[in-house]
Amino acid sequence: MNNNEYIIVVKDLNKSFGNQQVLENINFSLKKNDNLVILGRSGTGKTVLLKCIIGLIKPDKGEVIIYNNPIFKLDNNKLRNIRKKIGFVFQNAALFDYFTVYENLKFLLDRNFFDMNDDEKHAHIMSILEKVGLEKSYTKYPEELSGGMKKRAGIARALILNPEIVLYDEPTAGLDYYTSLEISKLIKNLKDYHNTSSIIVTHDLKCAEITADKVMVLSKKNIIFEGLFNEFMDIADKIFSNG
Amino acid sequence: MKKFIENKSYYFYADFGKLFDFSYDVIKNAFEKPSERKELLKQMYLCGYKSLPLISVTAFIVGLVLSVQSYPVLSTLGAEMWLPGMVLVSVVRELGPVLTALIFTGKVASGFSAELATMKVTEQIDALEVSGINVIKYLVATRVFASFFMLPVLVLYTDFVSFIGAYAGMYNLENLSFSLYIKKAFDFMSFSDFFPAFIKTFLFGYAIGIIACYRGYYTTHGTKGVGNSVNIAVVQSSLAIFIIDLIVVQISNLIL
Repeated sequence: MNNNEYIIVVKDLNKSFGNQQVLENINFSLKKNDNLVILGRSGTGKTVLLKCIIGLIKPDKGEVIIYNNPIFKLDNNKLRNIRKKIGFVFQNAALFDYFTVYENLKFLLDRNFFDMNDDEKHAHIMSILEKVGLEKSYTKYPEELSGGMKKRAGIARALILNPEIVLYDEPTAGLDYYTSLEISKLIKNLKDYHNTSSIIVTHDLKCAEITADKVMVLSKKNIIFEGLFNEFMDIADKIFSNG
Repeated sequence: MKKFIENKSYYFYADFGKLFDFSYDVIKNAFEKPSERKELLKQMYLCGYKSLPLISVTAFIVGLVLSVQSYPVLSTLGAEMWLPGMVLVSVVRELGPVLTALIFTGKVASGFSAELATMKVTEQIDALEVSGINVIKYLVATRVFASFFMLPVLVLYTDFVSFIGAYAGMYNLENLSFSLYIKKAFDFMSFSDFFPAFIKTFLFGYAIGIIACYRGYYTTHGTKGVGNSVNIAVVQSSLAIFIIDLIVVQISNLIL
């Protein structure tokens, strides 16, 4: 495997909580401009895996290499610099609840884009909000948003620093069919028009179908399938009936 | 029973060690770039200026009650003129710092821990971290240093308001002039009354800030955890105030 080809490489990742092993010898990699969808039933460790990749959870064993940097060996400043290249969309959006949607985005710009003036920041924020369809709701606080709007605001916040990689944790969970479809198409468009690479953790097959270049299935601590979505669908029943 | 005590002791010391680690992290990160001056000033405003009404009322009443209740005892001994000095020394040395620190704990420590705990359980702290923000500096160091700088200021203010409250009580009983009241009060005061008492307020401020933030930052178990963190933060901060008070008094007695 040529490491330069891959922007994220996960090697022999193991994680336990107490006596319960959640991830065991997980190995995979993400190519530039690829969307990798990680499927699996609830409680199979998908979110833990995603949080290990971004360094929020430290694994018991194994390595995560992003842009050739083993992230668990980096000092805090270097890790912060790597994280600025990655957007993370939380399952419940995790918006800063004391800020409006606009301020949620501006807060990150103020801290990272020091050479941008206020007009440029405003234009950048509005262009991102337009992309996610929130240009009319930017003065609202998170508590005033619907579930779908929160997800969109979470995606907008993940994109505000122009990340090269976006990690999505259950981007369509808890949403109705049509809103899920819109969010899935949005993720696909972001990849197509912004050249982002993404890891999308979901159990929504429709979302996987729309967004995936490659599918990986996590079950009982291990990766049990890696391939294209169509290949997965051929054996999906068998995979899920086995747990 | 022995095992139970061993377990409790283990967790107590482990927790204490973790608190010191956290404290070291806060100090180390506080001086890293970029500056969080704006957030620090905001926190100083919130925990200092916003505490003034509560502290004003409490301090005035404490001063007033102290003079009104001490007057009969002193007057039977013919020592009414000692009252201003007695009030000033007791307020500056003990009542002002401890009372203000306890009120500050109830108002500010509970706020710090509740805020951070809620942010923790709703993943807002994780969201800050993944956005490349130095969370310890932005959320914790600003609060700890706001508490560290503002509590001494509030204590000076409490001393002043209590002193005025005591004069109001005394004026009501004795019709004493303000200039004489001040003269009699400061006849009793010395540098050794003021200095250790003032130094300990910085320690109180730091202890309250660090305990409150530590409890909030490491909250688990959802909304129940938020309640527990606030509760523990207030209890441990109050206890820390008395322990620091005892230690500083003993040390200052040895030195001064």
